[in-house]
Amino acid sequence: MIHGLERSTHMSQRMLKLLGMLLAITMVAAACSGSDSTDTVDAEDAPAATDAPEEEAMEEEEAMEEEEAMEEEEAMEEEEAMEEEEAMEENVEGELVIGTILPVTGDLAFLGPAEVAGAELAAADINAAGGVFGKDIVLIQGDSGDTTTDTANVEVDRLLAEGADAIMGAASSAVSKTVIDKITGAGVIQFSPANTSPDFTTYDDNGLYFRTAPSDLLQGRVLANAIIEQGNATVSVLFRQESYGTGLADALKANLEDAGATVDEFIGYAVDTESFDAEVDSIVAAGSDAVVIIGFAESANIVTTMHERGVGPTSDTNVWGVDGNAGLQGELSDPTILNGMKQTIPSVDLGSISDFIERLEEEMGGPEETAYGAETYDSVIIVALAAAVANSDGGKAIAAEINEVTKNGTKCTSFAECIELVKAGEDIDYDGLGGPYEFVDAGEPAAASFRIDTYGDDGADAALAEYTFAS
Amino acid sequence: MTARIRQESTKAMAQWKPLAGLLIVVCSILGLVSPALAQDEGGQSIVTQLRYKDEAGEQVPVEGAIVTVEGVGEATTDAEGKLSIPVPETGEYVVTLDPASLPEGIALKDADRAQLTVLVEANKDKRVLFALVTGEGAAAAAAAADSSGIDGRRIAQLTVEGLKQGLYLAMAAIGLSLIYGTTGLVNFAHAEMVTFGGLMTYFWNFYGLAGMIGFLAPLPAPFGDGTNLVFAIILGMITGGLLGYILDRVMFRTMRRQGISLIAQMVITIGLSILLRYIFVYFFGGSPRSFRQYTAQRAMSIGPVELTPKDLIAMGISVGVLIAIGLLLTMTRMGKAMRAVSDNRDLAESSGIDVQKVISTVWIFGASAAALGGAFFALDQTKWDFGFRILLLIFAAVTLGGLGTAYGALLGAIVIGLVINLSTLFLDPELKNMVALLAMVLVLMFRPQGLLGKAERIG
Repeated sequence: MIHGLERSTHMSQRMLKLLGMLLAITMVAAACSGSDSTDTVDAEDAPAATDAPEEEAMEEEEAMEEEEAMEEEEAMEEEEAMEEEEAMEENVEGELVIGTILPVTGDLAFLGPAEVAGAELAAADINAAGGVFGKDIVLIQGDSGDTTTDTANVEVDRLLAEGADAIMGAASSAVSKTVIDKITGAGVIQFSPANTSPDFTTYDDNGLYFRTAPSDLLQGRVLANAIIEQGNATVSVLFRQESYGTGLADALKANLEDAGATVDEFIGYAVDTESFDAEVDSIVAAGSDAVVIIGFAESANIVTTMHERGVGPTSDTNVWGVDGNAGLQGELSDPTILNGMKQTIPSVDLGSISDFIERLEEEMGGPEETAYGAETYDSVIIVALAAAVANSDGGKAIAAEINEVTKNGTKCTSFAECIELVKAGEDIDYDGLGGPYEFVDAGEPAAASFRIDTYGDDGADAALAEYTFAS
Repeated sequence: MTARIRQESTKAMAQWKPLAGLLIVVCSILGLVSPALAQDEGGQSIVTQLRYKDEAGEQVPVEGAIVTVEGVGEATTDAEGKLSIPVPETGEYVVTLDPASLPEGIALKDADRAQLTVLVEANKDKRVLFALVTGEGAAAAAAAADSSGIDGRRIAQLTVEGLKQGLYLAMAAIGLSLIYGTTGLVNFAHAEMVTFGGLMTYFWNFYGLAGMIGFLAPLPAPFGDGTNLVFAIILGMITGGLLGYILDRVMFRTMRRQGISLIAQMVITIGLSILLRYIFVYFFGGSPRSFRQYTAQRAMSIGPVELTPKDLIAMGISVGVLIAIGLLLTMTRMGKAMRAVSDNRDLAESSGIDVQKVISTVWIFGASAAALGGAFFALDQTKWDFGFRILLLIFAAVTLGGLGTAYGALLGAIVIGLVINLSTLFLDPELKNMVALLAMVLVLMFRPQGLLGKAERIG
C-alpha cells in the first residue's frame, strides 16, 4: 500500500517534468508556426450563392488575361456583361448578408466600439434607403478576439454557416491573416476597415480581399517624414513581432534611413510579452532622440515603463506612436504621462465628418476612440453598392465590382445618392467618409490622408491635430 | 500598371486639394502653419535643416553649408540652418551635403551619409537629415558606438530587473509547489489564481468594499469608492486565499474522497483554468487594466541601477513572505504536519494529524501567495489572461528549483527571472522567454530532481 503510494508519487513527479517539457516544446512550436491554423473549408460550407457558371466565367477570364492587352480589355468588358446577366438570372431574390469580425475583445478592443457602431450605422442607412435588391441587408456582428485566442476562426465558421456573403474585418492584420484563406477559399469577400500590413497587397486572395485602410508603406513614409521634421537624428523603434508591427516597422526604418536618420535600436517583442523592463532598458541605453512604439494595447505598459525609466513622453525624448495604439489614454489610469507624445493615424479630417462622428458617438453611447469608424462604415456601403451593381449577392460577383465602385464615374457620397445612380444604370464613384478611396487593382486605396496627433493631458488634443496626404 | 496607379493617385490628389487648401487657411488663421506646409501648393521640394548639439545639449543651426540635388541645383543654408530646393517632378533624387562647406570643428556623424537617395512625392516636401556633431561630440559618439551592447550598467540593471521578475514569479509559483508537495496534484488552474489576485486587487482599488452595489457607491472609501492600493492588495490577497479555500473545499476535497486519480484531477484543473479565464474576461473585459495609484512612478537611482519605489517595496515584501513560508514549513507544528502529509498521508492521518485541515491550510497559503504575486505583477498592468501567459514560467520555476520544496521555487524563479532579462544582452528580446525554458531543460537534463530537490525521491 505504502509502496504503491510512493510509486504513484514518483510517477506523477516524472509525469510533471515530462509534461512541463512537452508543454514548453509545444508552446515554442506553436509560437513559431503562428497563424497557419487555417484550413480549407468544405464545399458544403460555402454559401449557395457562389455557383458553377460564375466560376467558369472567372476561369475563362483568367485564360484571357494571357492574351494581348488590347484584346484583354475588350474581353473583360464582355465578361463582366456576361457575368451580370448570369447573376441577374440566378440571384435576384437573394439577400445580402454581411458578417463582421471586429475586435470586441483582445489587444485591439479599444478600436472595437467605433468599428461595430460604424457597421451598424451603415446597415441602418442602407436599409433606410431601401436596402439592396429591394430587400434589407442582414448584418451579423461577430468578435475577432486577438492572436492569442481562436475567436476569429470560430466566428468565421459561424458567419459562413449563416451564409455571409462578405465578412468585414478583422482590425488586426495578424488576425486577418489567420482567417483570410478560410474566407476567400469559401468564395466570400473579406473586407477589412483597418488592416494596414503591406503583406495583403500581394496576398493570393482570389481577388476577394479588400481594405479601406491604406498600406503601411504609406504610413511608414508619413511617420518617417514627421520624425525627421521634428529634428530627430537618431531613432529607436519598439515593435510587435507580427504582421502589422513588422510591416510598419520595416517601412519606417527604410524611410528613416533613406532620409538620413540613424535607427539605433530596432526591437521586436513577442506579442505576449508580460514585462518590458529589458526592452526599455535597451532604449535607455541607446539614448536616441526619438522612440517609436508600434504596438497595440500593450503600448500602455511600454509607455508606463518608459516613463518610470525617464524616457517617456514627458521627458526630453520624443515619443511617437501609431494607429495601433491610438486611444492609449483609455488604458492608463494616469493619462498625463502621455503629454507630448505624437502619433500618426490614417484618417480624414474629423472636422469634415463631424456629423458622422456625432452619430457614431451616439451609437457607441459616449465619446470613445473614433478611429476606423468611418472606414468601417464605408466598407459596408461599398460592398452593398457593389452588390447592387452586380445585382448578385455572390462573393465573386460583388468582388468583381468593388474596385470600380470606388472610382471612374459619377461621384456620389452617400448610399441613398449612389443607389439611385446605380438604379439609373450609371457608373458610380463612391467617395466615402474616410476618403475618396480610388481602389487600385489589389483592392486597397491608392492614396490616403493621415492625421498627426499630439497628446495633451487627457488624450490626443484635437486642436493640435495636423493632416497630411500620402500617395 | 505603375503608371496607372500614379495617374489615379494624382487624380485623388486633385480631389483633395480644396480640402488641403481649406486646412492651410484654417491653420494660418490659428497661426499654426509651418512654412513648409504653405509651400505645398507650389509643387515639391527637398527640405533640410542642419543643426548640431553643443555641449549644453542645445540645438545650434549651421549657416552656409552647401547641399546639392543632382540634376536640379544647389542651395546654401540660411541663419536657421534651413534650406529648400524645389524639384520639378516626383521621383528619386540624389541629395549631397558638401562636408567641406561645414564650419570648423563640425563634421558629419557618419561620414558616408553625406549622400542620400530619396523619393519625392507630388506636392509634398521631402525632408532629409544630415546628422552633425561637434569635434568632442564625434569622439563621444564613437565611444558610445564602441560600448554599445554590453556594459556594467546594463548588466546591473538587468540583474535587478531579473531579481524583480524572479521574486514576483516565486510568489506566484510557491503555491503550486506547496500544493503539489502536500497532495501530489499539479494544478494548472494556479495561473488563474495569479490572475485572480491581480484582478481582485484592481476591483478593490476601483470599487471598494461595496462599490458595485449601486446605492453604496457614493460612500467614502473604503466602503463605497475604491480603496487605496495598499489596502486593495491586502484585500486582493484575502480574496485570493478565499478562492483557494473554496476550490479545495468544494472541488478537490470531494474528488479526493471519491478517490479520483491525480491524473484525472490534473485534467480537471485544465478545464477549471479555461473556465476561470473566461469568467474573468466576462466580468473584466479584454482590455488591460492598471491600478489607480502608483502607476507611473519615476524610478529612483540606486547606485548604477534605477528602480521604482513601488517595485522596491514589493520586492522587499516578496522576500519577507517567501522566507516566512520557508520558516513556517521548517519551524512550526503546522509545517511539520504539512511535511508529514507530504511524505506519507496515511501514516500522518493515523498519527492524529487532521489531513484535510492541513491541505486546506496549504491551499489558502498557496492561493494567497499567488494572489499577492499577481497583484505585484499587476503593478505594471494586468489582463484577464495574464496568469496563463506566465504559466509556463511558473512551471519552469517550480520544476527547475525542485518540486514540492518552498526554497526550490524561490531559487528556480530567481534563476528564470535572471536568465530572461540577462539573455536580452545577447539575443533578441522576443526570444527571452524561450531562453528561460531552454535553461530549464538543460538543468533538468543534468539534475533531474531540480536544483534543491532531494535526489532520493526520484527512483
